[in-house]
Amino acid sequence: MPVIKIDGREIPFEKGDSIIRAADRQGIEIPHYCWHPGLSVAANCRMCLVEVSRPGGRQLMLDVLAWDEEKKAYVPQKKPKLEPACQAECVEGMEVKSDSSPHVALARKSVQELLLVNHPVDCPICDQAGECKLQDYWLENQKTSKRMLDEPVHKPKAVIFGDTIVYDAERCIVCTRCVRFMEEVAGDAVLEKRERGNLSEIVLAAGRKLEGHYTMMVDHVCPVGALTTRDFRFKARVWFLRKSKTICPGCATGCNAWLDYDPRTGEVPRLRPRDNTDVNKYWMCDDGILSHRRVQQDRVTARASAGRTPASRSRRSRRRFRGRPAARRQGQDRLHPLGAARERGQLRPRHPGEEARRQGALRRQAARVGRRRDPARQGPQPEHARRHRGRG
Amino acid sequence: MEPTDYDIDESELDLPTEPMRLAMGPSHPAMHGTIRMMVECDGEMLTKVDVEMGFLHRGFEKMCERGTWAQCFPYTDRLNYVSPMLCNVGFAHAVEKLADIEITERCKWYRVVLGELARITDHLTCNAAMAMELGAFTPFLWMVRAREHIWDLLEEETGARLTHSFARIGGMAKPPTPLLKARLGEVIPAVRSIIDESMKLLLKNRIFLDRMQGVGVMSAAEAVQWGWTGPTLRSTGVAYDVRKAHPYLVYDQLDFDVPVGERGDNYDRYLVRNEEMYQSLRMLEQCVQKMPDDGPINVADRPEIVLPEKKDVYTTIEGTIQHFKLVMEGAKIPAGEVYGFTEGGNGELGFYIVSDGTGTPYRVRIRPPCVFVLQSFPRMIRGHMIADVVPTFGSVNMIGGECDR
Amino acid sequence: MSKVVLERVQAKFGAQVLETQSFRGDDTIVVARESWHDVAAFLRDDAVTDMAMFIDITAVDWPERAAEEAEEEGVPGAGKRFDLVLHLYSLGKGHRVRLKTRLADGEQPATVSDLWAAANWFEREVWDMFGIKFAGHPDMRRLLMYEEFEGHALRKDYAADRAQPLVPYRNTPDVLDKQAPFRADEGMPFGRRDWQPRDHAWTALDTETADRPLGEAVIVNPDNRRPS
Repeated sequence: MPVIKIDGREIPFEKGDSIIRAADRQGIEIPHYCWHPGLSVAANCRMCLVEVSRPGGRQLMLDVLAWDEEKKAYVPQKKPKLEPACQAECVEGMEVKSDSSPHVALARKSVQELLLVNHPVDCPICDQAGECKLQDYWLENQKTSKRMLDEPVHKPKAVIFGDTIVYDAERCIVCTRCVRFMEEVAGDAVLEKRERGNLSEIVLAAGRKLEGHYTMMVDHVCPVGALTTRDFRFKARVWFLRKSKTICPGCATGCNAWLDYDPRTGEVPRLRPRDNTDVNKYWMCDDGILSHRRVQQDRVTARASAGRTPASRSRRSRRRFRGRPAARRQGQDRLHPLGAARERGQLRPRHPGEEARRQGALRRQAARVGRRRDPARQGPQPEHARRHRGRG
Repeated sequence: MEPTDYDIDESELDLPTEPMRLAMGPSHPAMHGTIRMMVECDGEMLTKVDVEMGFLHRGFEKMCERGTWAQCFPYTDRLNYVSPMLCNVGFAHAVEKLADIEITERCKWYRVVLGELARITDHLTCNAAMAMELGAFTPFLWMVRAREHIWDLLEEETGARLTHSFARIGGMAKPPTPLLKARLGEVIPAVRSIIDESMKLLLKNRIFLDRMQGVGVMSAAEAVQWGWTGPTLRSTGVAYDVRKAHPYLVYDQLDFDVPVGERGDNYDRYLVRNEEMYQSLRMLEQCVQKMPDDGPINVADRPEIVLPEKKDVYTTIEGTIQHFKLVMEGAKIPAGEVYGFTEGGNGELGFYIVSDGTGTPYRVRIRPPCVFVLQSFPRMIRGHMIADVVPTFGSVNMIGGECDR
Repeated sequence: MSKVVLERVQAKFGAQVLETQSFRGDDTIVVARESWHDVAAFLRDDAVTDMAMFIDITAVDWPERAAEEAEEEGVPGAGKRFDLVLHLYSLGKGHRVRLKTRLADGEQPATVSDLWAAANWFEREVWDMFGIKFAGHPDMRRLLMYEEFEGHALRKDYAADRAQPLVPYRNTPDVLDKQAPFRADEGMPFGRRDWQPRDHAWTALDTETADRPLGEAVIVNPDNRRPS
């Protein structure tokens, strides 16, 4: 397999690979915003600029003026012309300088500073905070404070794009990942970019709204907090969540997904696509992403003894049962025989497997309870058991 | 009339005695801090002592492994809670050593000022409580009044009387107030006169002298063997003070003496602490002269570790991101291990910290100076009477938070 | 600062010294468990090292490192899980050293409480918090927690929010029974010495000299208080 060198390390590539893709496959990250492995190349964020020299090729040098601190003057200097790693195709024997080049470091720092020039101070209220590339790359590449003193450009906030997605133009860095996703993957070019420079923003096509089965993926391709789903918006802060691998329970495709849950309450606020090029590539449909609701809603969450329904339970006990995994509850709570529970609408045919399992458990349990409660066989009951029966 | 008891050799008397077991503490008026001493006495004489600690154990070291580095500061406040600023600064000192940060000149002076104020409150509390437990309530109230002056000043500076949480990695939470030097000019003479007066109250008092002198004696060699540091070690005559032996901050630019005792008894410990307060006041006077009035407090060139200014956090996205990253994920302290040590209120306050390069400490170990003294308490009290436990324990200055962690 | 200590120990113990390093001014010696006590005794008694002052003994738990080592060797539990860390200081010379050894779970290092009396309680704390027993320790009780406490709290696999079982009311073992009483010649039962006012000159601590004798400083006495 042919190889290129990135910072002196040999990286194999397949014909037609860009530098960033070859590096990505080897687990080397070249900072980027607009590039996405499943989308076409736009090369508009300029974050992935690297220093490239091709075998036999002449490296293009630019004349620049650099500030000299000692002379207190600008002095002419040469600087290599940097290329976006997402667009430059790998060639055998190519040598790339990424982290090792001071020119690349300066370029990244400048690009990052430019992207933050008009960015609002939104981290405390932004759902992306904690998994935002603007934050990560600031710490990795910029680390300077603001130099611009002007009022930033203001743009529309909380624009409703459809039933699922809200857009914030001020946070947007206009990488056009969402535009490309709708056009190339969803096949419905409903998003487009308007205006230029500072004023550019993402808008809906005239007379349309964001709809269809693949709208929520635009939140997951968005590298910043510009596009957020109305489902997850303001529900949780991501640093409180833990993730675990799962398979989307929605259909037989079996899309690979991350299940984000809150370890403090056991709630599952969202499902995210997990990359698997053999099954779902990088994508999931709206139905699948929203299936986290079905995991939690309308579940058997408590015992239903005679005369008591979940609605009549005290606040305290409701709090106690909320969000606990079904498997743990089962051992603790005695359930009423199935017929009564079904009458109250607590067991639903939506969960056939769970229903059947519980049915068997209930029958066995009911038999045991019957035996235990026979006073002739057991003698006087302990205090806690008497109280329990009197209440229930 | 001469008391005749002294003339009788005890061994000549064949009195039927039986040892009695007595639990002093964990709740006892003279056991400040919860601690239990099982003592066995023969009459008034102690024959055996066992000290049991841990009643105030809160898992300081375990808690530190859960949060970020910056989140350890409030815990350090609650170590030695009569001089929390010294613990604050001690922990910051250790983390800065590991992260290889040189703090700014003004910050060094500021830390010395706040630290020496805290040291005075520490010694005032110890000496006052020790006197009170011997029945001298007036000096106690008098010295606590001096402590009040200092706490007022610390409150003006930090916003809190006791649990300041004021140090930060690479600086302090806020720069000094413009009034600091003027207020120091008021507080120093007030505190000095109060210490003078309280000494006059105690040092001519026969009861106080009798119960302090020659009680709880420790020799220098044995004190070193037991790992004593701080005022207790100096009371035995060993002139080991971290501020002199390994100067940190700006202690090498300050003129001060290290007071030592001769016999290592309660009286020497009391005098050494008293003298250290005078020395701290001397240092504070020099700080008023030498401390720069302007200049940065926080280190500017380590944005990946040191928090940004609040003004930037609220108005610029760069500041917000920096703050967010440092607060939510924690400053990434380079992997490695160091032992950072400063002179705390009770002696060498050490922090052995291990980082694995993440925002959370891998291990934070504190060297609690008063445990060393407490450990040798049975040795100090050997052969004394029950009543001697009280002043001796008072002079140990056991602080529950630091001892049990 | 104390390179001389590292060299001295290396020259004396050779292959027993697994590793030495200096980082941010701290010097570390890692030794094999078998020579733990010997090296500590040498550090205390040798005229060059002169580590009379015991600073601290503690441990650090590295379960992941132990798992990796065990995997390499193919023996479960073979990995060295704990770092046992001893800090020492020389009052006379002013240098410090950190002595470390690596222990697998269940291995018992030799106690150093016979070298420094101060190590007694801190080795008990290491047992309490990490479950490392010290061979030859006179009184291997828990220090901060109670005897019925389950597990060792500072191990990494001890969950910080783990609840402990309630301990029923019981009589604690009487530790005083094991102790020998104070002897008659110990302490001062009656007739204390009278306090004599002392007359001493004020001397400042000389930090310049390398060998610092003990007790060169201001001697406190109410009568020689310098007027403020």
